[in-house]
Amino acid sequence: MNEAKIIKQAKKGDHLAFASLFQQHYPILYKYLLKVTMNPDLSEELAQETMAKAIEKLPLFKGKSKFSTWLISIATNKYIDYHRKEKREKDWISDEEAYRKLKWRMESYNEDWNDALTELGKLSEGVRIPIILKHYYGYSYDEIGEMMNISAGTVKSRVHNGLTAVREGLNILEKR
Amino acid sequence: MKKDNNEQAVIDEITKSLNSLDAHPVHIPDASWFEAFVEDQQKKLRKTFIRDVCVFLFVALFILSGLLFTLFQMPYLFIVIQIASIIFVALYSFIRYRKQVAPE
Repeated sequence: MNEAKIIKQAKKGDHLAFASLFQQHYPILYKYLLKVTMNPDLSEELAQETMAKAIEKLPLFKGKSKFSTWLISIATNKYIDYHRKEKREKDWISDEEAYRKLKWRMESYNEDWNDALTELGKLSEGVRIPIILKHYYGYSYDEIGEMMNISAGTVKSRVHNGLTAVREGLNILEKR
Repeated sequence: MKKDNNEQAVIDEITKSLNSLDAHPVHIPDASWFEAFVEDQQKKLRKTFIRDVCVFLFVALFILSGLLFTLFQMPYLFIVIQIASIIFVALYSFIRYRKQVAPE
């Protein structure tokens, strides 16, 4: 069955269709969240919250974009909301721990921990997300602006400033 | 030109580093987990919907019975409430409109 048909079935409340859609898109969703959060536990938690929201909002999905794009858009807003609610010292410490945990996991799978990841991790989520969406997933400034509820101009300047910060960070690391 | 090259080099470096994150294994729950999750969420949504409808009906009935009581027992108070409501709605709409057109 193709995706459009499964979505149609899910809109009618068919829980098997929903389950099939989510199982199919879970890796994309989780990997996206891992890139923006750099926290495996938080990525799992936000992936579940995203799916819960998608069940609620599916009747509003018009099919103008791909289903994965729609899920990424919900996940982005879930992550931004999470940061808005959790702006406390304690959570900064837990972010640091998660970051170290991911670094350790990557090294245990013999994957190189690139310096660019360190620099990307230092950026605020409002800057990191547009960079990843633009230069890794290939979304346009307009699409990213729609996903994050900001103007395309703001997205462009955040991407530019973010790349400059990463470049400067990498230059400093090289000079050491 | 050099600036563009620098920016492209940073983008390449970021893409490479994000590719390495993709190598991180993903634990995909089995189909039965997704089915149970969806059923559970659908139940929660139904419960929330029923609760919201009940709250709405309760509040609506409360307001309506209050208004009917004032209409038949205290007509003057009924008129005062109607005038106050009209003034409130007009003021609220005006303030909202002014906020929308105010320059940033």
